[in-house]
Amino acid sequence: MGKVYIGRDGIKIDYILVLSMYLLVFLGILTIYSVNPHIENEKLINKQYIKQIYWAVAGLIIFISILFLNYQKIGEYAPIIYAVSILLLVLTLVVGRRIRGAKSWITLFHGFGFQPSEFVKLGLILSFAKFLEKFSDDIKNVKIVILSLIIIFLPAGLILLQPDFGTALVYIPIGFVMLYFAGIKTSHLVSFLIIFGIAISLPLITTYAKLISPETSTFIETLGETRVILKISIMFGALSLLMFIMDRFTNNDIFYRAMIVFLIFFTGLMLSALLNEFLKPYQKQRLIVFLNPKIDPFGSGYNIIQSKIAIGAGGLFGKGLMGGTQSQLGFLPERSTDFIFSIFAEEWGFVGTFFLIVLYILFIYRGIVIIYSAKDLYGTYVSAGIVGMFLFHIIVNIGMTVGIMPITGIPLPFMSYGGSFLITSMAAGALLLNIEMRRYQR
Amino acid sequence: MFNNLRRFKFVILITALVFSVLVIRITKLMFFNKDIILASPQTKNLQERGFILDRNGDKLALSIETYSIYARPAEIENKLETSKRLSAILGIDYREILNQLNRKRPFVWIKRQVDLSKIHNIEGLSIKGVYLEKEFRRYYPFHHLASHILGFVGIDNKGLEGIEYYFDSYLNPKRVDKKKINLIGQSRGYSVVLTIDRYIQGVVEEALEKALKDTGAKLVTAIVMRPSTGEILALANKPDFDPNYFKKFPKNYIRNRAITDSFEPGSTFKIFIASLLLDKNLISPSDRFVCKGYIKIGNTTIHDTAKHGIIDFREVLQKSCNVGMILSVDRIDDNELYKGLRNFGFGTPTGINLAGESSGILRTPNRWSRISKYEIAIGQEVAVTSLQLITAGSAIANNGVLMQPRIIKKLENPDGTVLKEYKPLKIRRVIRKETAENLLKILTGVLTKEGTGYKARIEGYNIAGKTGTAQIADVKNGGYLENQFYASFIGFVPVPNPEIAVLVTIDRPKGEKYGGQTAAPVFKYIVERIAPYLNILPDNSTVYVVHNEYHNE
Repeated sequence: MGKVYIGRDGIKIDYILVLSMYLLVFLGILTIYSVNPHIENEKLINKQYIKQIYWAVAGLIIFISILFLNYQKIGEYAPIIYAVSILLLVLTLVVGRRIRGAKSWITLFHGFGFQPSEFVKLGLILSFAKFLEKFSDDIKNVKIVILSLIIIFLPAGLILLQPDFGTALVYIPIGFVMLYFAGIKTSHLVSFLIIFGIAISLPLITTYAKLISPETSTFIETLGETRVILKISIMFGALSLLMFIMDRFTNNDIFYRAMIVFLIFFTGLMLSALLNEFLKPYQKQRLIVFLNPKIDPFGSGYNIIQSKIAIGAGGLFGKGLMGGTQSQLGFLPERSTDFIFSIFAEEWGFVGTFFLIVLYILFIYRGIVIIYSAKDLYGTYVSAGIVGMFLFHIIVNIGMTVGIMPITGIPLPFMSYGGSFLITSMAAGALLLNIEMRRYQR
Repeated sequence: MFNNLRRFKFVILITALVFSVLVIRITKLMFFNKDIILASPQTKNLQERGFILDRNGDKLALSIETYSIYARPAEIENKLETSKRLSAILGIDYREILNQLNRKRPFVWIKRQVDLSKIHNIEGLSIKGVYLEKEFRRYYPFHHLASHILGFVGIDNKGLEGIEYYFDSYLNPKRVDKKKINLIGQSRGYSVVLTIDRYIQGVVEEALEKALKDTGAKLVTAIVMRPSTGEILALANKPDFDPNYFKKFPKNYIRNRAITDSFEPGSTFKIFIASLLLDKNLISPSDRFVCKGYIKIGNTTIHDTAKHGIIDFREVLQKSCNVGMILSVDRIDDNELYKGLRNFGFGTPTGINLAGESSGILRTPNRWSRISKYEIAIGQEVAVTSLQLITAGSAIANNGVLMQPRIIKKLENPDGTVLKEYKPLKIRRVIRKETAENLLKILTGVLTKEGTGYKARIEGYNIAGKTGTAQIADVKNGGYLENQFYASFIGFVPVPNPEIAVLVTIDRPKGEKYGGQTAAPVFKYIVERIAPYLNILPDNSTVYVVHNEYHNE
């Protein structure tokens, strides 16, 4: 059901996947159109919705082109894809254009630029999947897991240098979802999640405490200093070394386990110190404000409150296209990018929003089915990475607009204004289709 | 190929769970929203927003009672008849009302924020399905006056710009402690008392209106500050807007460019270079230089406005000689210069209680080119906001001590008692007292016949000042724009103990470009009118000063 058969080879197009994707792109353009400010004498071509249409058309061409390539052929070039991805990111750091604080754009010719960090998401998925396929038998080996993490964190780290925290963050769930499907040991997965938990939470504690009350205790204040974190980390490092020696000289398993626990803390704290140095204060603040937007009603909290009001104002049927007061009056910033969901919700109400979410669920559902039905492990891992990427984007973006996720500036797939991610998303959709289409092919 | 069914199921479970959470959350926001005040008709808006007052207690922003009329279309039996009746009372086209009533909504506005005194037949409004709601509407009685400071509120009475935005948590009645409200039986937000003086602000705006017309400039800005306390007595940019109808004005009229935009100051910046040179005893006012009208630094030639010949340091400032300044700045070490300028507050936001402040640009010496130091000496290659410039200038007028600029005097409880007082705040000593006094004396030379700022001279007053005419950086193509200038004048009255500092900047005047020609007369216009008001009297005069009404309050 839900397939259109093309030709004698039995190549099938999954029209649920394609249809949900194109409907989402269409709704995105419609919403961007509705919030486009009317500027006198502005050339049509400079309008955001016109640009988005151009990109959608470019995305369609890329979409069709990808269908003609066999994804397994693409997989053969995995090392090259990875190398080019890393090169692109390095190049961005060197010649990139700085927009809103982050050096994340490369300009090709006058005015026309793109964000490599978006395309590299696919680059990583395509190349990392090959790596996982190759070492699928050794995935329980911790060395392979660490090697995998290096593969994931190299591009993520380069993006963090731009610094674009939100986009760098996406690489982690992509990597972990792929590792999960590749059969990583649950204990490894949990250990590394704890490490990242420590790494991310510690730099935020001080900022959080400061936002709650201006008189922060000196204990918490010192906890937020890189120097202090480093010291504690080294302490744990020394402890784990001690346990390692004890383990060598005794036959007690408890020392080995203790060593692992200390090692987890050591690594987590080390990374935390590193992040503490890299994260700008405003970025820390943004991450925190989602916990309680009223902490900072003038700064970062303002967006969330406005966004919630907009969604709440939607009601059952919404206020109609261009009818949203919250959005039209410009209370909400980043209307066509980060907060496009809030605009849509205000204009189309609960009914429209429900429909939109159903479209996303359908798309993700087809994606998950493709993970399962792919004919080889490479196909499984690629589709797992893509589904992981979309899931993370959808959940974090919508979660952000309704106030249950931090403001990270992650766009909503297919809807948010922006060419690089739209084209990346459409190419990702094409890859899913590509894998599904060829599942019976020899 | 893939056969780990358990993991597969787990992922599906998590996905389903997360999407359910999202849907539940959205449902809650749309239908069971208790803690968020909706910008929709259900809102009860009966509490009054706090006032914004000037330093003498004049209300610059207040709220007036209005009524909004709305309908629940489902309850209305005859929509055509109802709309015709409403039309007769409210004076709106009945078709417009009918359109509203025909919308499939539980609530529709008929007319918001109406003045009930203008409605003759209030009883006529008692129609089934039509309701009245009392609302407060923000009103700015002086319209354009101090608009960039005050900001404005949206129709839901939420502060969107300026003080209204920055102090929304105090002005908003919802934030006032409930117990306090009961105690005094009032439900109004806290009031914000500014350091602004309505009269001085009025004079400044009048002067700027005139200057905008006379010079044909893109933008004019002026700030009046009390150096000893850092209080801002007036701050204005023209063109500006009327906060009562802010939607009618273009966005760039609404921005408070005195704090959000930075510019290369040009020669007004020389006073800070001079103060550092004098403070470190690297130069004496009588040191001599030769000005040939230009100077070569490597391959670069920097031109002067004239060939000044043999000239001492005092005259360098008086005539604003670029060559002399460039030769002098060589005597100070790069790092010391940078540190000194940072101490004056350049390159960092002043921390004023207004949103959107820019920090300007002052690069660290390791990022200077070979000519950067000399460009900085004449006020190029650095960018400052008007507020930074006058704050730093005030430090010289305040015996070398930098004060925190302040726009808020205090916050008041609804009953008029003080909630929080904002006291003057010393930031740091930047230069020695003797240096400051000495420099002020030298700068009085600028307003003499030989100086560049002669047009700022006011008979009977001893004034120190400095003119500036800067090139404007070309953001698109690099380099500087041709024939576009940023003219400025900063002055301190009276010397030796200045009570006010005044800065006037003129962005891209047409015709006459020099600060001494364009900005200095505006300075004069302002000071002539506000000095007597502030009881700053001419040195040798017996003029009888009439205390005007504002001052007596």
